[in-house]
Amino acid sequence: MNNNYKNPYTVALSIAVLTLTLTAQAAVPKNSKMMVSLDQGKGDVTFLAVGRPSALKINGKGPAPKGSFAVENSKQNPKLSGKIQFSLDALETGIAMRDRHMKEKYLETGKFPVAELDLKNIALPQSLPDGDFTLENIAFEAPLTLHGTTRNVNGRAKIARAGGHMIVNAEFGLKISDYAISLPSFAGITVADEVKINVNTESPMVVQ
Amino acid sequence: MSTQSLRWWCSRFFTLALFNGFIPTAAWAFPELVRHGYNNCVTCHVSPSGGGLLSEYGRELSREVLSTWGEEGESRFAYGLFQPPEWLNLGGDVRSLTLRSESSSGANIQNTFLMQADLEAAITMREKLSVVGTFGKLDSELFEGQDLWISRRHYLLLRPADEISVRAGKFSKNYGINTAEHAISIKQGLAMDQGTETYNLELGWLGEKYSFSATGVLGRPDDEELQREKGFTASGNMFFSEKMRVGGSYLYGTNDLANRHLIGPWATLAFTEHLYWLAELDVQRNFGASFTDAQWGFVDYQKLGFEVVKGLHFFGTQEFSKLNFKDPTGRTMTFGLGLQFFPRPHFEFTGSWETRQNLAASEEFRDRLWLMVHYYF
Repeated sequence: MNNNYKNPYTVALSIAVLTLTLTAQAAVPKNSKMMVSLDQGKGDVTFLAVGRPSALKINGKGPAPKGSFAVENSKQNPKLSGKIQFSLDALETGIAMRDRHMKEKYLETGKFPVAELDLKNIALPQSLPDGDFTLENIAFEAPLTLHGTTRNVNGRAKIARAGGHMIVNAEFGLKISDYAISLPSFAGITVADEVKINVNTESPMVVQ
Repeated sequence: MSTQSLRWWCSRFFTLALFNGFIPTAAWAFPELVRHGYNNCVTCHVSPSGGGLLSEYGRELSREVLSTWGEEGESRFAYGLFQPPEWLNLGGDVRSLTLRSESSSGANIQNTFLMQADLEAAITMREKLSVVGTFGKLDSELFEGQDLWISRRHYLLLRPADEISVRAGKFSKNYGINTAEHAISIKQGLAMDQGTETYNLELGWLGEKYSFSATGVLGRPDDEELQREKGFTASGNMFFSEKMRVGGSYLYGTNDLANRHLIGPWATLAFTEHLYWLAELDVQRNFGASFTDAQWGFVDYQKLGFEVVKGLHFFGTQEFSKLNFKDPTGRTMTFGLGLQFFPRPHFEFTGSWETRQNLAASEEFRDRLWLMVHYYF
């Protein structure tokens, strides 16, 4: 009889090696693509602008963005690509007349109803596991088209997979003057050039 | 009644008011608007410390945020019937008060009087320099024998930068919460209510999160007999969580009769867009010319309000005043419940029931009811 099989240390070692091997196999990311359609999701787009001279904080809010993006998962080069559209006509700041000025006089939503963020091959910091995950503080640079003008914006995003949903929280800043929009002024309050944008979505995803 | 005809009646009311010489002055500060994120008074008022003449933005806000109903253009000066040039801002207030109170003998006394009837104007040059002043009339019965035509405020306001303001002239010193209720412990109880304006030199700094002001108080050199105190004040506050403001103020004041130090924290907090709380606590050290020792004491004021529907507020108040700890009878306590209604731009109605104990007079709590009608334009 081979005593090695009776040695409890050998049995434990074998189990440990087997467990580690199986775990390692499960953690190895497969090449996959997660398709996310924002049209079926929920969320919102918010912005924060500061009005002068009273340092008035103007908080605006709009419905969830539309569009789609894909997360391509690979061991070497995980990345995110897609196009996200924001409806400018639906933005609200809590004061109807101010909203009307903003849309008609400055954003000219009749001519430019939508802003679009074009996400091209945004590098993800690590490959993704098969199950749920959260990636934070992802830096991105992407062209934003607003008011008929396209300029790059820089921001940070958090991406999380929870069950069959993809959750995205992204924030970026822009300068109003970069988009051929004169600084909005309403009833003696003039908006500062820099505006912060937040995008929050939760949408169903399909893994291919 | 249709909104069109309401607007017509409002414009008639204004015209009648104008031709009867019963013209107004300054709208009051409404710190409760912090619940909508309005942390600095100059968003809505010309004055850096709030109150008085409304800015164009403040007028718009009075329709969109403050009032239950209102149509576009309704909040403008004279309902838009007359549009002043851009460099001229006109406005004012008329306020009357009906007060029914229980006297020490138990009898009910009812009085109605004119609290305020002022016109206010601001002339602004190159967006940096403004000349602001009020002109109005006092109640002829209440102030019998006095000069009835007064200017409560008149000052030069310089804004060399968005954040900085310099103001010189006659106005209320910036201390604590600037609330419309001037007959309360933290205003009248500390000799800082309507009518106690002094000549001052004020430097202010307004930021997104922090604001400060320092004021040199020069008293009333035009009328030394009034014995208005001289000295200085400093006030600062921090804005956080989009709807909360906490601050603190200090005053040193002196005149021929006494000198005092006054210091205290205050807060305007909004828990939701409908529920808000104003609170101020002040500790005073007062040394009178005839005193052997300094008198220490304190006052407090709290108001908890709830906006039931837009423009209609239900509120409860509490006040306490004991300005000399050594005087066992020098104490007043007040509790109140009230309603405040802003039906349309230019109109405010506030009514309150209060029960007050003034130990100097009696241990009993005595009731009083008051109704204020305020027309601002």
